[in-house]
Amino acid sequence: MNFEDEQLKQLLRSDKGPEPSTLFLESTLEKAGFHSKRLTLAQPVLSGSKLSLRPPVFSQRSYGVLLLLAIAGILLVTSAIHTEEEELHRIDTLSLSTLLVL
Amino acid sequence: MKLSPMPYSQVKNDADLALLLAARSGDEQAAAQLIRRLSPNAHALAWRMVNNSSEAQDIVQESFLKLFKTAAYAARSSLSTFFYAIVSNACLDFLRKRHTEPLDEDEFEQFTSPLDFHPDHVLSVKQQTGQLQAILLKLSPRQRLAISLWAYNDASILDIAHTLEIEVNAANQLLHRAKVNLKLLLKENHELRR
Repeated sequence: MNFEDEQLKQLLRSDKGPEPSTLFLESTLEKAGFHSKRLTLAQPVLSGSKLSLRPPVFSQRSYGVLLLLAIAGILLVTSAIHTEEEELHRIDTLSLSTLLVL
Repeated sequence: MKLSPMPYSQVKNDADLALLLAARSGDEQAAAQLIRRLSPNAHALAWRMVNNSSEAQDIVQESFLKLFKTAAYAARSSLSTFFYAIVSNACLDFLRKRHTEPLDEDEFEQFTSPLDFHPDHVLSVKQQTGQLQAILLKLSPRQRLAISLWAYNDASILDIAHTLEIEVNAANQLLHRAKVNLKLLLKENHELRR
């Protein structure tokens, strides 16, 4: 580069005009979506949400339904046994009656 | 085996590229560092083109958003050159929309004769605030862009050709005309002040 060109370059570089505003950096980062990412990550901490390592397997409502099913099951089994006993008793009575008739 | 040291420009470009990759994967600190590195020259370039600091700032900001999100960098030139090309095209788009200056012609008279350029011509414009910008605005936008890229980013003829999407020969002539015309305007300015 010759001397004149070098002078021209120095002249242009010596005067870069007004500088970008102080908010330029923050504003550009925000528009590029960096700030929203940071806030999203910080939100669980800031909101003070309860510490929960994993979601519960059964909720209280599920336990209630399970208990009802268990009670219903026990009742069904009990009534089935009771019916069977009555049936056996009836057969016994019939057998005895038949024997007496004979 | 003796390893030859890597050129400084290569090291700088590798650092810029690493920052861009980190920024694209969500690293805010890397993005901030890249903005700090590239924005001063980019703002100077945009301001020279549109002659308004606030609009220049908007153009540079939009260019950063493109760089972080969509622009495909093919590593044919340095990252800074690639970024200044984005800024340059945004400036030309802006001027095209504003319709204040013809973009596709160099309306300024082209001087080919050698000038008796003198260091005093530079000194006199340095003493006047805003005078240099007033002089540069007399150049056509494409000449202004070529000389700004050359001055602020050490852009080569090839870089200017890539940025303006013209032949290398045309870029060479454009930069030459820009320099000659600027020297002439500086000389005129000096003579007017005497």
